[in-house]
Amino acid sequence: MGALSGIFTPFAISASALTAERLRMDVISNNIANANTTRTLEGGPYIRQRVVFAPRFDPAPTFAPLMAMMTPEGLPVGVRVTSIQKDPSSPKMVYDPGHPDANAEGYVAYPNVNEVNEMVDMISATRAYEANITAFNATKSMAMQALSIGK
Amino acid sequence: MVNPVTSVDPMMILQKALDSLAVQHEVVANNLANIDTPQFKRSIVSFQDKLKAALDINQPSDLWRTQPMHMPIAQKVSLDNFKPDIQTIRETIGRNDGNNVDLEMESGILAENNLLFNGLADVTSRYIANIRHAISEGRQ
Repeated sequence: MGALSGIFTPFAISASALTAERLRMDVISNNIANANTTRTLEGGPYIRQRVVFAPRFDPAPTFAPLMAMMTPEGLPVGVRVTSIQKDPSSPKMVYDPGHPDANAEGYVAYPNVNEVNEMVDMISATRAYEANITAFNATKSMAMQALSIGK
Repeated sequence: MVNPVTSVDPMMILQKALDSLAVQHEVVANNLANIDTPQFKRSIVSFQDKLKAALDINQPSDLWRTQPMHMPIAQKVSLDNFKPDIQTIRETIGRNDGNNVDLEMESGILAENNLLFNGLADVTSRYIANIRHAISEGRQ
């Protein structure tokens, strides 16, 4: 950040959210793609993944008017993904004795991915992405207008 | 270019208003960026009432008016230390994850803010054009 503070900071804020929402979308797509994956390198079925969002901070901001928002961590400037975590819920057990990954009782462990949940998450990520695009365009329009003052 | 009624340079008012709108825009962009962050609380910016109060020509001044009909003049109005207020709304709960950012509300503020900023930037341009007009003695 630093030198980019001021009229250009909102670009970085919106961009951080676009990056985060896109990563979330990638993870959701990966979950849906692997909804029926019964074997992985670690062994066992694919385990659903989810992103964890947290506010992003600028530790040494230079833009004075926003100092009222300062926290011990710095000035809040957008969002970041802190980690991608595995969903601890248990796999779906489906009785299918003919399946190569079936256990001794004839049950196959399928991933704990619920396609409906993933679709809902996907819509939420899309809407958030669109909202941040709108904010980005508004920033652009304001910056253009500010640059044309006096012309 | 000093306004005789308020003794504040109109350019200064425009500048403070534009600065405040830029701050408001940044805060709204930050709210929208954190729309999916658990426990995030939205912030709001207010400056209109404060700016209006700072420019109030009826503030007590050093000049006495012996008649109420006399024009109030030369108030000690200074905008040098004017700053918009930023407040984080911690009381409300919007969703189960403790986040209180409302997409519609923020989009509304964003659009309003954008129009206001563009409008004020236009006013500033016209103000400068007026000065240029005066400098060139009315010739283009």
